[in-house]
Amino acid sequence: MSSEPILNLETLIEKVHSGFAKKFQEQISLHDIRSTLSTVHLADPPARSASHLSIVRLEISGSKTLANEEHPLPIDYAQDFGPGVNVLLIEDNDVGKSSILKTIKFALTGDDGDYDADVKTWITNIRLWFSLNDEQFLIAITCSPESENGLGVLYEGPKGIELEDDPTKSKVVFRAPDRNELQESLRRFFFDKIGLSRLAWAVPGAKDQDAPSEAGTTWLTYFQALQIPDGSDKYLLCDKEHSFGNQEGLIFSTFLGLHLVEQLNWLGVEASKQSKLEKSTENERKTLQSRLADLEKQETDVKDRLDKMKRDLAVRRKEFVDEGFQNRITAVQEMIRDRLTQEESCQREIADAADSLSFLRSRETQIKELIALKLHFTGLNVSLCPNCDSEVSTEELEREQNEHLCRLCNKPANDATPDEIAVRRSEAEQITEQISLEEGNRKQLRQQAEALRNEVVQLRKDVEVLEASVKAKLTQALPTEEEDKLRDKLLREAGQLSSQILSTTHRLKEFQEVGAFDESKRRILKKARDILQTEASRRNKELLESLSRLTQEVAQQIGAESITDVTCSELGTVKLTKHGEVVRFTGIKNQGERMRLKLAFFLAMMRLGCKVGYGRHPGFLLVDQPGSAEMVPEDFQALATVLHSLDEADEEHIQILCFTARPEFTDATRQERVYGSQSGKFAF
Amino acid sequence: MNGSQRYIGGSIPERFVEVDAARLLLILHHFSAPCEEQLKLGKFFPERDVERHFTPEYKLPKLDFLVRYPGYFAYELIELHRLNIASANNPDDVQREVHSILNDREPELRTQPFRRFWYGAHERLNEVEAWWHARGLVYARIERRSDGKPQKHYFLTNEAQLVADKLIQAVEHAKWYDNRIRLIQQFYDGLSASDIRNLQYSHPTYRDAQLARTIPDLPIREVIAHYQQVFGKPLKLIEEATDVV
Repeated sequence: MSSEPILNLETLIEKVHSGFAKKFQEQISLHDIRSTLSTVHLADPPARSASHLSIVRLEISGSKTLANEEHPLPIDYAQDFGPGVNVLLIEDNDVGKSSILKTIKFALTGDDGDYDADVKTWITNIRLWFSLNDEQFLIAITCSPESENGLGVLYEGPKGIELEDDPTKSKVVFRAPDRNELQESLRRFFFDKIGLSRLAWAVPGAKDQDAPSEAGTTWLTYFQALQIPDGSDKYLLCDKEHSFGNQEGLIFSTFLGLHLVEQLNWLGVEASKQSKLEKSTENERKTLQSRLADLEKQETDVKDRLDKMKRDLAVRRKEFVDEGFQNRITAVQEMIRDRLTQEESCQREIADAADSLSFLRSRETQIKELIALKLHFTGLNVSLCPNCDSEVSTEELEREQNEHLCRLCNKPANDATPDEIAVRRSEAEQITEQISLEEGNRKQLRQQAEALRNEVVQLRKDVEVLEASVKAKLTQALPTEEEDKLRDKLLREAGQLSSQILSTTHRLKEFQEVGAFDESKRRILKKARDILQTEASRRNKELLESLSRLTQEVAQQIGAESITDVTCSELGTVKLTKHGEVVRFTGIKNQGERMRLKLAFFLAMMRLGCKVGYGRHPGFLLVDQPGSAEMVPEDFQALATVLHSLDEADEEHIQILCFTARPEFTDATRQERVYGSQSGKFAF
Repeated sequence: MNGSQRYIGGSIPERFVEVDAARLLLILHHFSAPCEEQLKLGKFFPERDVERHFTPEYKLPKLDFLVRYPGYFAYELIELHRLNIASANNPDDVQREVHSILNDREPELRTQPFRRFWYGAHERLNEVEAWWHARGLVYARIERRSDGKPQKHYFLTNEAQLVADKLIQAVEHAKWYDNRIRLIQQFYDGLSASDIRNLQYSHPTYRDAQLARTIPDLPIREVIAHYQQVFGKPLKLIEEATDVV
């Protein structure tokens, strides 16, 4: 450890500020920096030894169905494990070795995703005894066939006791009713016991406009440092699926016990979030600008269409008005009224003529009747005086005849009957002529009235034709139902677009207002992280030198002498030096060499954890099928020898469970820690 | 037209005594009865030879109204049938006569306006009575009744009956009167003078006519409507007759 004083927060704040260019020093105040970095703690945690994890015993029960067996066979597997290197050796493949490994992983993490589907249905109960330093635990898992969720219980108690049968000597650490709860409970338990923290990385929002969020490392993530799966020689710690967000670096940083890991992680995550936020903000701003342009174009299109509809309609209306239908109809209706008036006048004249004719005919009848009666009564003599009732004498008759004096009153008699009749006849003849004239006149009037009626009928037809034309033209002039619907639709669209444009413009304005501060925060975080990296590098120097030394020692032991140096950055990035050249792990072409180097790195990490204040690896490792197809028997033998030497050297501090079909690994440990099958050729 | 005034129905107020004397003589000729012995004992009975007798006086204008207003007559024929008067029970008879009256345009040609006085259609008959008297045809006599109300009686001589018969034979117009009076007699035979009067009064046009003014003729369309209402079928006229409808 360097003698330089440890960086504190105030110094960090000042360094951040003084590290900015003058321009940014004016923009970003010390207060801004203090606000942003207020949660950063720069003191190192107390030095401690890593807890040593060791599996003591595993029991598996259930029943299995094999292809060549008629009935299910019971599973009743029980295996004790010792410290140091343990080898489960069955010289055949597909006999259940990996399932034992997966069961241990399931019991320690709650994750059963690695099981083969058939094996998963076979296992009903798992009991795994393990120790962490001097503490003894039993994890018991019941996999009910009726339920997908298992029930897990973690007991704490002395090793070798049937914990469930003696509750007075054990205590329940947790009960997990379902799988999720089991995983979370195990995470909390191991994080606490091993001293891990939930380091995080930033992930983008689900959508462009969503703010980036954090993803935290789980126990399952860290567990990758406790196993070397079959065929994992292509990567150092995490395959591609699990390497997202620098998880490999986080795992190394944690298990190696690098200084300021959490602070650097926090600053990195925050900076990454800001960067992603900035990126997403910029993306969103661009999206909004693009959207605004698109909306404005759409609005222009809609308005153009509405204007065109309006213009077209105006043209049609003008055409309709120019036709002058109303004037034409009014003129014809005026003509109709005129003809009807004429006809009415005509009808009145006809009625008058009828009256005249009636009068004349009646008069004619009366005159003719009078003439006839006068003539008839000519011979009827007056013989009595109607006044005195005296009879007319012969003398009075003679006097009337001779002297033309009335036989009754003796006054001059008017013998005018023939003349009167002639007058009446003349009158009758005149009336007859007049009747003839009136009838002719009436006939003319009737013809005239009929002509007028016909004209009115024709004019009304003209009006009907005109009105039909008006209706047709009006239909053309007025908007159709479809046009009305389209116009309503366009108006709604225009309204919606206008609203969207307003909203989008408002949001763009907001972006412009808040953008400056976000930029400042990002700069503060980045600058602080740079400073802390330097500080971490200073504090980690001794530790990383030990790691490099240990790795090289193991590498040389297992035949990876070409690797001359192993370094690790403050952020957990491992770099290798091969023949003086810095190479990445994946850059090493030889598969056997990669396997050896990987094993060396893991072992170095485990060894480092044994020292106080150096790392947190629990000294436990599951190795599935060590070696590779390219390795020759001599290589396997060499690997077994390395494991054996590890067992002898660090038996009390490490436990390696090695699952293999290679007989060479018989020499990897003591004879009593080499286990075989328990059910014929099968592991269980 | 001699300055004569025109009236509804084409009639004129000018009266000709020969025409009235002839028409009324024919009414008396048909509606008079032989003089009974009891009548001959009355002081008002003429000292001259008379054969037939007609009273009361007011019945004469009621019958004359039916002759002079063919439109009303047609309407009343339908009404008599509607009222189930025995003489008009046969619808065919009534319908035939109504068709005939209207198709012959009688309302237009034969209507002679009548004045309305206190008791309906009434005209003074002094000239006509004098004309009859001078020629020894009809004598009008007043009976002084015990109730103080005088009653006029018309007495027809044998000469009157001879003149009437000759008139019907010789003059075409008289034949029409004779036929119409016979028709009235046929349909109104059982009705009293007051019955006839009441029938005429039942018509608003008649009842509401102003005093001393001529009674308006009945519009033909009213006759047609009444025919339709009573007989349930339209009254179809020949084309010439529709002019006045």
